[in-house]
Amino acid sequence: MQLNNDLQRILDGKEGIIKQEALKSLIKYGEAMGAEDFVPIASAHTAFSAMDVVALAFPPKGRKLSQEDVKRFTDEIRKTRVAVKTTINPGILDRKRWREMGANEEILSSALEAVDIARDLGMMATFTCIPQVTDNIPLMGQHCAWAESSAHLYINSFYGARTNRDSYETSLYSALVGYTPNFGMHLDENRKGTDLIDVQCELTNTQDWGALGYFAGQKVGLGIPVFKGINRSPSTEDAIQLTANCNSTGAIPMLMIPGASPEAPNLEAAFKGDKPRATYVFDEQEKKKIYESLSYQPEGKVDMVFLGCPHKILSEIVQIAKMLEGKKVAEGTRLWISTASSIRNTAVDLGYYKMIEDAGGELFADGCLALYYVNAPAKRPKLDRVVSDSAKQTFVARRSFKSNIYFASTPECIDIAIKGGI
Amino acid sequence: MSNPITFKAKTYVKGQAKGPALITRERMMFLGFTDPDKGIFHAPNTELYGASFKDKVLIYTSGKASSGGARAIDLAVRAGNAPAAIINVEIDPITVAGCAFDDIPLVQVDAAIFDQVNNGDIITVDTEKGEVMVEKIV
Repeated sequence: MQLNNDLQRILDGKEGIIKQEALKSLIKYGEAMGAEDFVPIASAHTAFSAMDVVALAFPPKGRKLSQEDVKRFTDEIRKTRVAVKTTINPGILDRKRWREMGANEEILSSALEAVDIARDLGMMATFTCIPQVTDNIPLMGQHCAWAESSAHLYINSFYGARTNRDSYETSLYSALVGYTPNFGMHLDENRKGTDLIDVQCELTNTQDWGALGYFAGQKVGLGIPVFKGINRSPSTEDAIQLTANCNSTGAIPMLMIPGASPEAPNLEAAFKGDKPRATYVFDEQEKKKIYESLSYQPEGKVDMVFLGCPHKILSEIVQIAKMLEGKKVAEGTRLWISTASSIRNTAVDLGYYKMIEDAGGELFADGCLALYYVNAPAKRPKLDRVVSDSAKQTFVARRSFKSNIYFASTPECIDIAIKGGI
Repeated sequence: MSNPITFKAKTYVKGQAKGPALITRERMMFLGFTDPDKGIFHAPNTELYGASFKDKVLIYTSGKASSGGARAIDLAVRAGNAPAAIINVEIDPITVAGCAFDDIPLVQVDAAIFDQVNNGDIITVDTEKGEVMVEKIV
């Protein structure tokens, strides 16, 4: 791959071993993907732990990383700075409400150390999966290196920014060097539709958009779906559910809704003159099938109603707080709402946090059910029966906790939390 | 044993590997679908549920979903449970990252491979020749 002077300097080790190793890895990755050069990036979104940076320096063969390895490398890490604006995906703990989520002080101190190291590296430890609507908002045409399967799809599709489906590693390495291999979604010729989704039913609420995404990911698999027959632009909330669910079932780098996506003023432009390789019809029956496939045992007691996958934005928190006004969550049922810490802080300032807490709901930040409890040491609450307004989260709860799951609209979920069951 | 069947393969990550096939037409990923420490697939309602992937040549349609997929490959490799190679029909960059950083050979072949291979068939991946060779066990 061709390297400019900046990159050659990094490869020669003049910017330290961390950046040098990051670039070596990106060259390996870029060569595998057929990239000929690098493109400078405006921002990155990644997942972060000190282990991830240390992993750069240690070949993986039969070698598990230890806290000792991190200590050995801490000075080196702390000397390094990311080259671009960088935000961080949710972590394994709520920094304020860690007790309620079953974490202990040991987990807390390791999480806080990671925050310190991230700050030294110049990253913003935002711990949210919706950076594109909070603290890291790219503009049309900007090259980026973003992980988080819902967020990278969102910025390609609704902002016209350019990122590949980056992994935690490739986004972190790109953040460190300020460049990313130039292939795939960075190139004009790849930014066009491959498959047509013919929507023949009403999308009556945000969850229907989630179901549509879940369907598109399943059918298209790996490609760029273009949606036809939708007679209104999605709201921000709808777009978040659509993108998150496409990449719960598929590997979708970009999607297009003609009229709503900046690179697709109309259907012809979306395909750039090509014919779709396949057409899939999404009608009432298909929509019903998605809800049914994510809903087991329609009646009975519920342990957990979980809202906030991806994280809820402020307008949703306002709506939830109003729905809970004067009501009480049933005993034996927990209502968890997950969001970014910046949004929770605003909810505290504006009084919505108190409204939710007074009703027995719990507003968590920095993570989600999956991240708090999958391969994480926190003691988890009872999750035998989980209800959610996110198709993605019900799917994850089924897979990771073997939960009995039920997928429903937000008002229905609130209703279930108050009744304590379905 | 009948004559081996050969498929043309496009190389993404170089390497030579030989091992028993573990095959599914499903799309899948390592994060959430695998237990890296045990080296098994553990997602309910998936075809490979319960199967060990250590030293296997994994054949599946493509990666999907989470951007943590490459991390999960790395965890499995560090736990000593690396697959021998991965063969995909369609290529997701997240799988490429995981294989490139952990030196797991990764190639792309035609979907016709699904009609020719069963679990346990011996697969040789040769990226110098750009070939995947299948020896049937039955």
